[in-house]
Amino acid sequence: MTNLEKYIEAFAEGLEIDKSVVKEGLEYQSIPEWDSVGHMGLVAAIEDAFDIMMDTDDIIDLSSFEKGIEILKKYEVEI
Amino acid sequence: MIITDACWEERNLGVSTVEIQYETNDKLEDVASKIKTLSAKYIVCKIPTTKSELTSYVAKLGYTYVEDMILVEHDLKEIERSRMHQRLYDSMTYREMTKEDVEYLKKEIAGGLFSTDRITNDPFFDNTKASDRYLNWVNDLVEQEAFFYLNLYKGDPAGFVILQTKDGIVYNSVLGGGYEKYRNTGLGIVQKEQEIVKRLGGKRVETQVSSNNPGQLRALEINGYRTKGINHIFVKHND
Repeated sequence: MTNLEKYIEAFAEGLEIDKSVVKEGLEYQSIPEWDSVGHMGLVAAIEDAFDIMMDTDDIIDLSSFEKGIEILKKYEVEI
Repeated sequence: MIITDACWEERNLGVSTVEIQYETNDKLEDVASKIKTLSAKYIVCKIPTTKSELTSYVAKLGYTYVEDMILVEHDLKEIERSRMHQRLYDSMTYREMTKEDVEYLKKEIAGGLFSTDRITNDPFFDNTKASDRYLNWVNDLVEQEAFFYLNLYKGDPAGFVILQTKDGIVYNSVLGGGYEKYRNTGLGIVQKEQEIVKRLGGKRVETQVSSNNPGQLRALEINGYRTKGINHIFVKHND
């Protein structure tokens, strides 16, 4: 599985949404599932998928599909 | 039923306002005779969900359904948080607000802090009226010596909560929210009012949330709040 596939799967699992919804342009609050409760599930799923522990500044900065890819570079994860 | 001449809303909204809280023992015929005598420009009906015959009745009289108001309560017992919830919770602190903090809060409100309430979403009222209503409310709460607390993320103001109590046992979280800088960050999951009320010596905290704000309802539930009651809210504008 590629990192992109793992990333998409983490989004789908964390937000409890279909994989087809996970794509560029997906942002916090753009779907009902991505609220503060969904955000916790999302970050937990991303951490588990890449075996990392994100700083809280990065957790609150993860506001979109694209922003997550940018943040993961800090943890040496290339999508 | 309790009929209240909401004079504070006339100051806020510029129209005479009456609020009716129906009670579970109200009979339809009593309601019918009372409601027709009301002549305020803006009438708000709060109907318990168990009174379905009343919801149909007020709808026939031209009242419009706008939201459900859900009353939730917390017994202050410690909850089990997920690891992510706990990390975010631990990153937040709180303290009593100063006068300067209250002024900052007012700037946030004027900038559009609230977006899900029935006034903001009512085309009869403009957004200035909605924010003025909250500003007047905050001024009233200052006069009433309510408990103002600031939520901080790593020391930076991130939101607020205002509490009131009649008996020192049950506290009502009357107003709260996240500041613009920290909106859409996930920090809305962190609810510190249980901790604050416990420290103030209270035994329970209650708050209300609109069905137009499902994200906040989910956040309250995951923090251990339980639903205590629901009112359907109908409104009518008279010429």
